[in-house]
Amino acid sequence: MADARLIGVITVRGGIAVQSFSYERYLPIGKPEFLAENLDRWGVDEILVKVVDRSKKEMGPDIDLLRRLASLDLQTPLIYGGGIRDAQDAATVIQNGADRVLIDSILTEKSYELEAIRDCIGKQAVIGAVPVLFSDGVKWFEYKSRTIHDIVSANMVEKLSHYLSELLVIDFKNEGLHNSFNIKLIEKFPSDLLPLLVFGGITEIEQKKELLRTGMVSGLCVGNSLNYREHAVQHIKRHFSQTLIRAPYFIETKENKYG
Amino acid sequence: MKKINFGIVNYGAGNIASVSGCLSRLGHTVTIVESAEELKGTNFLILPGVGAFPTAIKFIKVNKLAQHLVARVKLGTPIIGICLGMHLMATKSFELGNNDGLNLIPGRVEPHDNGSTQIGWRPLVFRRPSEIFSTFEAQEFYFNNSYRFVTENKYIFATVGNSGGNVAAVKNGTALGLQFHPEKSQNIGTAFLSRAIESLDSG
Repeated sequence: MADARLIGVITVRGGIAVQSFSYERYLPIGKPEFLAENLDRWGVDEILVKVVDRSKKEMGPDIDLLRRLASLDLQTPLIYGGGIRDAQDAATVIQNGADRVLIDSILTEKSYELEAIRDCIGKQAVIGAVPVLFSDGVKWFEYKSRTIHDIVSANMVEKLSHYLSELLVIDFKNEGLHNSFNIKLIEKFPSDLLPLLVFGGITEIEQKKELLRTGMVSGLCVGNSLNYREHAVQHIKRHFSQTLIRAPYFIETKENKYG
Repeated sequence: MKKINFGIVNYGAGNIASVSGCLSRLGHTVTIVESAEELKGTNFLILPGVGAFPTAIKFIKVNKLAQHLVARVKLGTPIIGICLGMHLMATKSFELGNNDGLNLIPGRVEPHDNGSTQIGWRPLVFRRPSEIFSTFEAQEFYFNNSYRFVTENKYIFATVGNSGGNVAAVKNGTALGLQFHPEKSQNIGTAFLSRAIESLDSG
């Protein structure tokens, strides 16, 4: 039984999959559909599609993208984030191809929507995204206004735990960089009430092992570094015991006797 | 495998596209069911996952689907409930309140002991010896649930490995409930669903 998951992340901006650097610069990579197909074939434990320009433009979720992804017949659980405004959006996202949702700006701007979302799609399907930096504590970064908010507190996490199943801790400053996720964000995280997913500059095996050793992390979210080589996912998984992360999955070999 | 026309119940949430895609991949056709009228012509029913019990059961009852679903199953129409769909088959659920289910598989739905959510890939342990499903013993499937199904041993088809006996699958006649998501458990999930459909369809 695997304690943690390896989650492949696709960041989308302007309809294109991009490599994102600290929420400031974006380099185009290609069609999100191609990346999703690769991650599905390589056997990640979940796929996270983060559309980063929908909320700011108040466009709602990208249902067209979801439908295109659904038409690929992905067999891996799909998490979608981007533009979700309320319970109706969350339900529409789930019905059109996603299996879980990632919500971000709602946490700070419309937290009153959280109960309705939970009551509609279930707490297990909702993940909260928390872009943070470490400065005398773990501080929340509000990306629309690009301001640093309050320190993330235990009280805050306790309130969120009624509506979310996990928190995605994003080291936004180190996003896109090599081996740079600030582990203090986890070591000093104020509460262990919610399992944490981590994202932002997580590229090396030892880094991943260190994060899992904290005992707070249930998922390692890895973005563009998975696109540099074939079988990157399987390569990473081979470094972990099967009690920690699910064994690698090869679709083209005899190991897959169910294909 | 013969082509079956599945009725996937739409209760206002549910990962319908994922389930529909999986069934199409297996060569079947799908009808999305929102009313009793739309049940006609379907040979096999699916209650999909992803949602919350009170909202889903309210939708089914308000649209007068509940009694028709139960009647069809009593007449022998096979039905598979996935995750929340499995919970809807219970007698009662304590998710966000106290609500009656469809009572297709006697049991109740309650939170996990520590209020936690089970997320990730877990192995199955089959309670009943089965040639059809033996190849899936100890294989890992994707789970994502905050609530669990509690029932008598006679209805338990499989449990979650290393979990202290949490229910992974329940069965009563032609009704099969799966706590995990076969439609999102990659090749092994698709193979399992295919086997389950064949098994239920052949009676």
